[in-house]
Order: sequence, then structure tokens, then C-alpha cells
Amino acid sequence: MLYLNYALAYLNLEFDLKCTGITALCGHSGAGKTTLLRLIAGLESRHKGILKFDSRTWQDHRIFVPPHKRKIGYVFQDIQLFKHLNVSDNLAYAAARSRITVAEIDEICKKLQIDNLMKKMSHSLSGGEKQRVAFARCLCSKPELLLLDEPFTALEENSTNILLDYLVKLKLPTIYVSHSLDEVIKVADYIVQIEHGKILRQGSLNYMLQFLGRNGFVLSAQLLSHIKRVSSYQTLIGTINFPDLNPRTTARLFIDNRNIQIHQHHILSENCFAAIIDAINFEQQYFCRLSLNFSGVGVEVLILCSKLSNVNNLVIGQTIFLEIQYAQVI
Amino acid sequence: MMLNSDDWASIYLSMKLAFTSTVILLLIAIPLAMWLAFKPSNFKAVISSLVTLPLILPPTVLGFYLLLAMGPHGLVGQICLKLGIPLLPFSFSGLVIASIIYSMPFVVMPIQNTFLAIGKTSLEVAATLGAAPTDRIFSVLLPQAKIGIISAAVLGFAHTVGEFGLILMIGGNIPQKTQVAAIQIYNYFEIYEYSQANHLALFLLGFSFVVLIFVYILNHKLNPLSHN
Repeated sequence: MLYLNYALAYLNLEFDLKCTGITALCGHSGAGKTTLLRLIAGLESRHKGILKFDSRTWQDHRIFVPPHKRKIGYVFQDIQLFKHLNVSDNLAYAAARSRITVAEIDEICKKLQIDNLMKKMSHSLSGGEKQRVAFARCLCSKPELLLLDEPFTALEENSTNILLDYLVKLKLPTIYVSHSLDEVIKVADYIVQIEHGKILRQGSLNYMLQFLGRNGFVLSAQLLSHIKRVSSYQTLIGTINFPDLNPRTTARLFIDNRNIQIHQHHILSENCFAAIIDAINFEQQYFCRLSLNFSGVGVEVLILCSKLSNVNNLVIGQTIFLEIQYAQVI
Repeated sequence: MMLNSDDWASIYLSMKLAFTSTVILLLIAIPLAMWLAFKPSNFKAVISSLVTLPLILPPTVLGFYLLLAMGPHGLVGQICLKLGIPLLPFSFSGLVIASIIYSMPFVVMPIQNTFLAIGKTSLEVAATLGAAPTDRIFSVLLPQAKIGIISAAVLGFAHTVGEFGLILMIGGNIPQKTQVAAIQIYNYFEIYEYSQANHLALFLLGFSFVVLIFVYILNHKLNPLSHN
């Protein structure tokens, strides 16, 4: 649990974060995202406020825990490897100040594919390699909270995917600043939207997508098979099959609301799932927001009323059938 | 080149003065440059100006006020008398103090610029990796600033060797005690010993040239920051 309360001239925030998964901070440039990360890290000691992480107070009117005692991992936007040390020594710098084992370091290096770079100096690494080393170094300090400030800006897709996949597997409480909505959809569990130094809104990934310009919902998925360019993914609502050129073992599927159909009777389709309507809300005359319950898994869909036959006949508690025509692997 | 024993004594005194001043200067300049580079303060402009003042001030002005301060009626002189320490003017210790003040900008400014080039983020990264403040300085800042610090030390050393006006005012012209190489050249010039003055002057010229080449190589060829 992270509790934070700062009332600064340009940043007026108070929030409680469960901080169990990956929390994405979204907002325009200058909204206060980086300042917020720096406050959590303890790099802005001049500002007064209250900050608590789990049962520990990191800052209040009497206490200020300096950054080196907070056990946080911070990956900065501009990659900052120590130029006087090679890759191996950069990692050793963090390892020497934590209680990480050699086996754990080896595993991090292997997972982030940097085990062949150990003797290289930072100036001879590519941008993607530098960022993977910076990420590995941060993990070598055995952080209890990870702070990532747009860590994957301007990185090639391969490096970004390696880092994002590993980030999801880490299961470390993470606060993640990104401008890329695709990255956020790929990893975030919870989203906080900041505007002009204040929290505009916050909520789960699927709740927040509508405010971030994506009309759809996300499902976590495991690849079951990939035959003749058709992937079969296991999700919480059932097995979804669709044409897919780049199958991934573990993925998130983004289902655009334009690629779904609601049927009141079961149809013969491989991607048709039964759900009970929990709530019905009409928005702006033309849209209908349905809260659907797939045997305990809740999903909200916003659909054009014109796509629903006999929309006025829908009632709460009714069983309908959701047909997914296409899903995008994120 | 023919240098007599007096010349070698003056060169030895110049080197001893430059070495002592540089060592003490580094101990003062590194923390001062760190403060100037990284700590936000309202006094920064005043302190920076004071440090830079010897660059534009005639050595006679500085020498005059130092002489007054170190004299028996000056503040420093009074303290020395109360502590039972010999007065500083016309002594080697007096020369060291004057040289430290006079060479201060030549050491502080390059180190400050090196720290600014390294940036505060490097120290912040170290902090988030669990390094305490002193640890950060010795494990991150100073190793990265090594080249800049060596350059600054060499510049400070060379500048002290080349001092004349301030030394003459504070130390006078006492053989084996305050008669450094630059003053020895002036002595030869006054008694029309141009050939001997030329030998000693050539020695200092060569020394300064080699020092500048050394600093140039350090800054532009060996500095790892210039590769990135």
C-alpha cells in the first residue's frame, strides 16, 4: 500500500495505491508524473508532504527517509549507466549494496539477454542494450518498489518486448510512467491519470481504457496452439481463436468494441461466449454500455445501439452471447 | 643549458610551493566545486565571484590586501601573534596561503565544470541503488571526474610555478626561502645577466609547454566522456 499526500504549488496529490501490480501513470508532458516518481524515490527532499509505503513512513513532518534507505528501484528516462564502469561492474555496484545472490544476478542477466555484454563499457552499447543493463542493475538492488520513468522511449521493439515481458513476470509493485498506450495496455493492472499536477481519475485497466481513447477491453491470455497462422488463446472467458502472425506464449488481447457482436440467442461461432447482463446504461443516445458477467469475470462493453437487435428488450439478469470477431495481441 | 645552484634552488622552491599549494587546493576545491555544482543556494553567485576574482584582479591588489591582513595589525596577523605563530609575510607558509588564493579559480572552475558535465542524475542513480551520500561521492562522482581533477591539479600546479607579482609582494626576495624561479629571472634581468635569465626562462617556458600538452591530451584524448 502506498499513501501519498503532497500539496505543492504545481503538484497537489493525495492517493492511496494498493501497489500490488503494475500501476501506470498517464498524462500529458508537464502533468507532474516525473515529479511524483521523484517524490516517491526521495529525490525531492525540499518538498513537504506525507508518504507511506506498506507500514513504513518514508516522509512526514518529522521524518525523511533518504533514497538509499527506501529500497526502491528507479529506471530513469535518460539511461544513466556509470560511464567509468563496464556492464559487469555496473551490476556489481547495485549487488554490493543489496543482499542479492550470484544465482539471482545470473538469472536476471539471462532473462534480459545481457549475459554476453558483461565486459563492454557503456559507450559501446546500443540504446536497447543500455536500457536492459540499467533495468538489470536496478533489479540487482533487490527493490521492494519499482519506479519506471518512460524507460522504453525510443527503444526498438525487440528490447521493449523483452523488458515488458520480464516486468510482468516479476510481480513487483511497480509504478510505471509511459506515453505509449500500447505499453500501458500490455503491462498495467491499474491506471492513474494525472492532469496539471492533480489526479483526474484512476481505476482498473479496463475501466480506464475509455478515457484514454481506446474503445474496447483487455483479456489476459495464454497461447494454446498456433496452427496455419491461426492462434488459439485461453482467456478467463474461454478459448478465443483468430488469425495471428506473431503468437506469444503469454499475452494480453485487446478486443475493440467494433469487433464484437451481441446476440440474444446462441449462434454457431467458435468465439461466442455466454454472459449475464449485470447493468445496462445508455450513453449519448447512440451507445449502450453493458456490464457483462462471464461466470464471475466482469467485462464492460460499449456498443452502438444500432448494432443491437431489439435493444429495448435487454434486461438485467438476462443471458446474452458475446461474439468476438477479432482480437489484437498486445 | 647552464643553470647554477641558485637557479636549481629557486626551481626546487617553486616546485615545493606549487606541490604544497596544489595538494591543499585540491582538498578545498573538490568540496567547494561540488557545492557550487550541485547545491542550490542564494550565496552561489557571491561565492563563485569570490573564487573567480583572482582571475581578473591584478596580483598587486591581492598581494596588498593579503599583506595587510597577514601583517602585525591585520586580522590574520593578530591571530598568529595570539597563537604564538610567526607572522606569515616573507615566509614560505605565507607564500603557500597566497598561492592557494591566487590559483583557486584555476582548480575550482575545471572541477566544477567536470561535475556539471557528469550531472546530478549519476548521483541520484547511485542513491536509488543503495549508496549513501559519502559512498556516492567516492564510488561515482570522483572516479568519473578523475580526468578533470588531474587536469585542474596540473593547471593549478603550473599556475603557481608561474606566479610573480603576488610572490614578490608577500614573500619578497629571500634566497632559499621565498626566492622562486620567476623572481630569480627578474633578479638576473635587473643586474643585466640576460644569458642566465634566458636559461631559467627557457626552462620555465619548456615546463609550461609540456604541462599544457599534458592537460590537452588528458581533456581531449583520454576523457571517457568525450567518447560518448
